[in-house]
Amino acid sequence: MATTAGAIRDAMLALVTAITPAKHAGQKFLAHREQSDFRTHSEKNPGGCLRRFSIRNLNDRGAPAVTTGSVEEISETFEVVVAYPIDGRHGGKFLTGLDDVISSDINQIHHALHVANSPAGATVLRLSDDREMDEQAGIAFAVIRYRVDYYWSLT
Amino acid sequence: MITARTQEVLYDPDAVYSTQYLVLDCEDGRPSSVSDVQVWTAGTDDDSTEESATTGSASVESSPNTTIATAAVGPAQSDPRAMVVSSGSGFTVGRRYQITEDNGGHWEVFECAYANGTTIKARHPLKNDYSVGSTVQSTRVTIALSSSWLAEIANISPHWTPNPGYRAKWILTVNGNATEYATYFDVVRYVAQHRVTPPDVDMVHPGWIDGLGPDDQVDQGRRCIEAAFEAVKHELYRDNKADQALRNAEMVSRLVIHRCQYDRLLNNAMRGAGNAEALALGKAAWDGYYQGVIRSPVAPVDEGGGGASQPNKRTPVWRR
Repeated sequence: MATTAGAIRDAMLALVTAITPAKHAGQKFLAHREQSDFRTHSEKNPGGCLRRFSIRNLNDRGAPAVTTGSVEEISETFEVVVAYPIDGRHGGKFLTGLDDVISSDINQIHHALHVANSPAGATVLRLSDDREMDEQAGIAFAVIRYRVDYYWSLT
Repeated sequence: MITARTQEVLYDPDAVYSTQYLVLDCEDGRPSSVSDVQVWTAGTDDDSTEESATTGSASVESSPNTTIATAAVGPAQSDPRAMVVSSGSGFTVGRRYQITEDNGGHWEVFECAYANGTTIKARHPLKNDYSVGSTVQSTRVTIALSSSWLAEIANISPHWTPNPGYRAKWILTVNGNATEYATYFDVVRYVAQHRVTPPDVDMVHPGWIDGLGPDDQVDQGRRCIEAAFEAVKHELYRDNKADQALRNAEMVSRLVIHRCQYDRLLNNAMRGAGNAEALALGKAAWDGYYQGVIRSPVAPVDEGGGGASQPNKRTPVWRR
């Protein structure tokens, strides 16, 4: 079944938005509107960035694994970035409390996108996850990269 | 609003309003009793005759005065803002309450952001863990104001000064000790208002609603607007102008809207999210409008206290 990167991305957005977080359960994931670069927007407004996230496909498609001339199987990297202000809202543990929240969120996102569900027509495999800290700007990012295999139509 | 705000009560010659009360939110805990409440005008010593402003006895608010039920609350739980209490009676969104640990004595003050039956949510995650049985209480004391005193035109506070017209002295017993507190209030024809809604701010500064922090999303940023209004009031005080005397709602709204955006940029900059250019632009928008309508003779003010207004006086150059 052929699909598009945009449809896969939108399906991933919906799956992450539907997550009920295990920590700070009342603060759900909120999709960035993509009116500007997500990291820049979050760094300029750290107070409003808790669990805001962005999913972008990186357009790094290589040669197709399979092709019929009208449909090809390709692989592409999708990047999920979640923002967290570095503050003391995680109880008395401060930074390690934030570490625990980020770890829990990464686990739940991975479960939503790979274990429990996958976007229709796509196979999602986690490549890496990382945490970026910008203490001067008071913000941290969880960055998860997935390899997504899907069929896209050439017609 | 901040705890130590100057209260405004309405001049009521026609007995239109229901009973008005003086309010004290005690920051040290729930008082166990109230001994006395005395009222004087601002320029009168405590040794002078009191105003006959109050009627009846002061009382400690009867509810909320409840306990944590069902499960422990705090950062160790999945939602560190949520709590289930034994009785949901009396909880009001926007009010502040004290939660005190049953086994240890630590306590904190939280603002109620959600109240539905016995399910209460704090605006900000609690900082400490609280076990079942911990108390959740109002710390408010009130006393009714005399309707006949509020009907006397001579009791309207002077409109030409930003300082409160009356002070109230409360003698309470808190944590086993007799303690006194002072609150301040004005009797006014019009309470100071801003009339600003979140979409108003977003219309002038697109993206403002989108950038709200997690604790401010629940009320769409209305608390941020209240904070901006208080900042506007304090700028007026610095210019020796009374906030309740301004008689142009559109100008007051615009001041608050610009202040909302400036506060957002300032708070981000103070957190280290340095965007000096944006901060300078936000300050210029705020400063420019304030200078143009408040420090110049533009905004109408009610200096006589009768309700009518005349153009503002220009702020002397050496005071700007």
